[in-house]
Amino acid sequence: MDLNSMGVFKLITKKMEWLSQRQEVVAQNIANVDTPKFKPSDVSPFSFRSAIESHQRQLVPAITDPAHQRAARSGNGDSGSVTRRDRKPYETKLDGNAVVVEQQMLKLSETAQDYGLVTNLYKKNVSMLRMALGRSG
Amino acid sequence: MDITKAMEISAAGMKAQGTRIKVIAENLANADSTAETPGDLPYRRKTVTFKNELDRSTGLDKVRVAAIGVDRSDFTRKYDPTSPSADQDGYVMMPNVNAIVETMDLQEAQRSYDANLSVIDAAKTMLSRTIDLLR
Repeated sequence: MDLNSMGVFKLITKKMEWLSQRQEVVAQNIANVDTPKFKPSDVSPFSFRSAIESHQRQLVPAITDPAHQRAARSGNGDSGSVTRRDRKPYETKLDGNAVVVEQQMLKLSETAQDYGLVTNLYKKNVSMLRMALGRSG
Repeated sequence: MDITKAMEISAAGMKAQGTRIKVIAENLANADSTAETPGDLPYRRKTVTFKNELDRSTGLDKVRVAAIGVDRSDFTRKYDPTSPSADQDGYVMMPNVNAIVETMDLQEAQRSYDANLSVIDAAKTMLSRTIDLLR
């Protein structure tokens, strides 16, 4: 059974991809807390609409000839979010570094919490499926 | 995978901070390293600068130590006529190391190290939660 054919699992997977992508960006910001002229970045927010749209309204050209190339699908692999540099940093140090550690730590714990929430949701949905199959979830 | 990438980036950050602590230790240890003869210069304080650079083997931007430079500020003079490095007036050139500055720098490095460690901790929790999905 392919769980990803179900909308909720697909969405959860997307969110998990987004969260791990954000985790990487936050790690980058924190590692560069003392790098001169470094500006922090963040991942563009995860939106329900774009997550739904990206795999439902995408038309993929049919392959009618073996010489045709498969079109790149954004639905696979990444969450489709882009990493952007912070336009308005909260404060900038004398050496041009704009990383605020407190802010980044907040983002870090937020990401970890959300990840916990999403994985729990995944588990609950799987146990619901199990229950439907007649085994105790 | 992004989570393991996050851990690698933080590990690089920890390594850079570790180098910084090493240099601070060197500065503090040499706070009294005067020259051996009157004409020579004493120990010069070292500084560390960081740089974010692409690591080609992993394709990640990792922080690393760009250069270990020297602090060009003036040396202090101390009156100690018995020292072998004292000049005609009895003054000795002392290293330009300020223990307070070094201690403050050490604290900062320690905090940054801790922050990187927290990232690894959070990433580890996320990873174990993902593995828990298999249960």
